[in-house]
Amino acid sequence: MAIRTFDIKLVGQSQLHVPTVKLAGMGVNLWSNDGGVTWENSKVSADVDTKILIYMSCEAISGTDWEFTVTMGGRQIYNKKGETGELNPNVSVIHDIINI
Amino acid sequence: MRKIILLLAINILHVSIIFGQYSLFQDKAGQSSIILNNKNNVNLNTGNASISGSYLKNSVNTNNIEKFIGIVLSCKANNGVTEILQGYTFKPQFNLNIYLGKSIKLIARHSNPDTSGNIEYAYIGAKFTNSYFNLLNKDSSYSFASKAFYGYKFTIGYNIISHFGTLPFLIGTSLNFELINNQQDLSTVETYLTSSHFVGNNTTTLQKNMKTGYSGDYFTTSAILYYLDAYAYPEILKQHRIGFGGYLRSQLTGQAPRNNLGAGLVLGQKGSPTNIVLGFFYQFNDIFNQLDKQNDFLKRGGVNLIAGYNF
Repeated sequence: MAIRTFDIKLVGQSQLHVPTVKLAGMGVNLWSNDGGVTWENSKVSADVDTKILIYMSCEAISGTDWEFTVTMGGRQIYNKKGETGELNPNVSVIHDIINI
Repeated sequence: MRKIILLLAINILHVSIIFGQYSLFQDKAGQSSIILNNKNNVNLNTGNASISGSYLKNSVNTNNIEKFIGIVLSCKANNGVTEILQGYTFKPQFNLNIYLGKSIKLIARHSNPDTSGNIEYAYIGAKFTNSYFNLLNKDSSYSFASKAFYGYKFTIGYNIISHFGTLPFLIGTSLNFELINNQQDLSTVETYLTSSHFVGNNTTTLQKNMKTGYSGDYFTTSAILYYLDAYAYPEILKQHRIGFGGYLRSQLTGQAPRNNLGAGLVLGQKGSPTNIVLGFFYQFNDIFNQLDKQNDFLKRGGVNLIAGYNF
């Protein structure tokens, strides 16, 4: 186990609402300076092993594209693209495991 | 001849093409109760041959878009581009919109509120606007009087993105207290001086000092108006990219109350259905014929096209 710093970024094609990110089970605060299109926290510290549980959910009308990236030490360790409404209307949810 | 046909077509269809208005879902007058997902843009409004610009500031200061402030400022010349180019009197018109919104939770949520698919906002807003136009005098002099109008609007509104089964929809509604005028009800007229020159069997007629303006009984009135905008985005239409719906504009009080209803299709940007790039509407004006100006229901309507780009 070691404390590492992550850069979390969620970018929508338009406004994303109620973005929720959890890293290793811990909630991550996100901020937006462009009206809710780009959500980011570049200084997320977590005590992690070689694998991290990642959770992300966001809301926007179905068909809204988004891209979610996790960067550690300048190296992108996770990247996923999708659109809201793929499983449930107006919502996207991902659960995944990142291997560091 | 071609010019006459073109003018007839425009008058019959009441076509107005609006490029990139700041309000994404709007009626022919540019009004909307939907403010969610507003973005910055520049506007070229060919509907009244004018150029305008708008600036929008959305402020997000928490982990969600719980509060936001929007400012929209647009300016244009009173009679469009030609007036600027020809060096006539420049009287800039402006629209200033200010609104403050907050995330709310009115409807029931399921076990996880973060993934319910329901997004709700309430907002209050104020709008200030001015316009200038010429009004034909009623004294048979065929001269115009210059009119200035300063209007305002105070709004309380509600927006929701939700779903009915698997069908996503977006609804906006607002109650507005406004000072409005009836410029849209007036007839457009032109006056000009003519002089004729006779050379042999030929006659040449010159038209000069052409002026444009409005004719009719002009008034301003304070009124309460109710706005409703509703759009659904079924998956079968280009993966939610095309929405269908419309709007209702009800003037409840004041002089010449009326109800206008619009219905049509909107095409959103790829990956962003609510950023409209193209809209096609048919607007039914005065659906209950309260103004008693035209008994033929279909003749009280008109087509409206909207094209836009957001950044």
